[in-house]
Amino acid sequence: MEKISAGDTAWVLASAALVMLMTPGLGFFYGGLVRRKNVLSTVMHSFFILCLISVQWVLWGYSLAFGPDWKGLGIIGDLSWIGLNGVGTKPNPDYSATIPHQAYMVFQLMFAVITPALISGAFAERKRFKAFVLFSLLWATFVYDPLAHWVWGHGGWLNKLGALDFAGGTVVHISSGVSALVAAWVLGKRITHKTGEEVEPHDIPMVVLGCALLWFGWFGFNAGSALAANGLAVSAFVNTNTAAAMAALTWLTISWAHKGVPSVVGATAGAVAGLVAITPAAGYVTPGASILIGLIVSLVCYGAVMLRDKMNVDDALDVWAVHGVGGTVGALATGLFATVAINAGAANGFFYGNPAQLKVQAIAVSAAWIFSGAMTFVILKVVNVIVPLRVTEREEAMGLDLSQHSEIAYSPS
Amino acid sequence: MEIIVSLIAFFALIVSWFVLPAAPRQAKEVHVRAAPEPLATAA
Repeated sequence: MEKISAGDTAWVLASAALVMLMTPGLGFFYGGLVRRKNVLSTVMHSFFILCLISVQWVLWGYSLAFGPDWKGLGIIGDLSWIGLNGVGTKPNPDYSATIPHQAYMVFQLMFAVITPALISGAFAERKRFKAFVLFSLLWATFVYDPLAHWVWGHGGWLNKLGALDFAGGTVVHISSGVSALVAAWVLGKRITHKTGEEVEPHDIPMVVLGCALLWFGWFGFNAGSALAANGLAVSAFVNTNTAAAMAALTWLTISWAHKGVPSVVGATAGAVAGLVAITPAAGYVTPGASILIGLIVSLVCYGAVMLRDKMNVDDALDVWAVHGVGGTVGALATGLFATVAINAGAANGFFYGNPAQLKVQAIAVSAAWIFSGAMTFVILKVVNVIVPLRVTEREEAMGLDLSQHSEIAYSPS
Repeated sequence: MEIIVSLIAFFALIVSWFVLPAAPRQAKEVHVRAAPEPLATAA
């Protein structure tokens, strides 16, 4: 067994803290995009999930996702690590030989936290808080934990197949984005679609602040996924920043050409799309490829936003278009641009003489779409039997801050 | 190859910003006219 590395441990713990900050950052990002009567409820979705999943992960989530494979099927971990039983300060070489097992666990915890929080943007401004709580707990247990096991768990079937997902394009972004689309469809449109009320972001500086916090935290998300303070972490860090910047520039340009103005909200949406797309690829591609990934993802995601406009689905904050589609672009781009020159432990992609990798990536993407979409539908139907998913029309008109939390964001006095 | 395509894409974006229109004049005028109203109400 290798000795614990102080440098690796310090970097992974710092990265866990960076990723933790992304969830309240997401709350600001989403909170600024909704109307002022719903800002608290939107911020609360992210903050509450941080607390809820932190406990769920320690009690059973980590064991299901990363525990010893149940019956060798590659589907889910068993419950032998329940309550972190056996997950101590010694390294687990199956995941990382140079950091304490608990450091790996807490780093992964932050990914489990932000993923269901991402979905909340789809049902913003109309979901009942109690239904949101139950949905989040069930979704984390029956969608995120198995999917994380498939891709990252020791013995997971997509892991054994050779699917590349450096930091969660499939596990985090496709799963949340597709689930968001299903959730928006099941919940139905906001009443503003009937009344014709204009829905505009209530606080754009708050959106920019949220985006900046996400971008900052994403360095931990991607570079931390190297699980060591080494060259691979640096490569992922550089790719993350480059793709985000290029995607922001591209989105800004498309929206400028399309709508005649360089939109601030558009620039932030582009940056997030770039961060999403580089997530699965960050530790496998060159900086040049990260520029192309940033370019491609904004073109595709902008098209997805326009497509969503034409669909009969009210995905309030475009979670599907940015995370679902962006994650898909990133996962497939990994199959195109991956090179062992960057990561000797991985595989080459299509452009480096290995077309089979693109096929593996497509299988992983398809599996994530089908599994997360179907499971989310079932979970929402079950939750709706126990607690109505939507608030009443009166509560929705009043705003969720007052109707669900009896608080208002901005006091008039 | 990736570098060449990236360079072309980046410069294409930069050039496009000088070709694309500035913000519509009409929108600017609306904001300028709208600004004094809350102050007048407060007074």
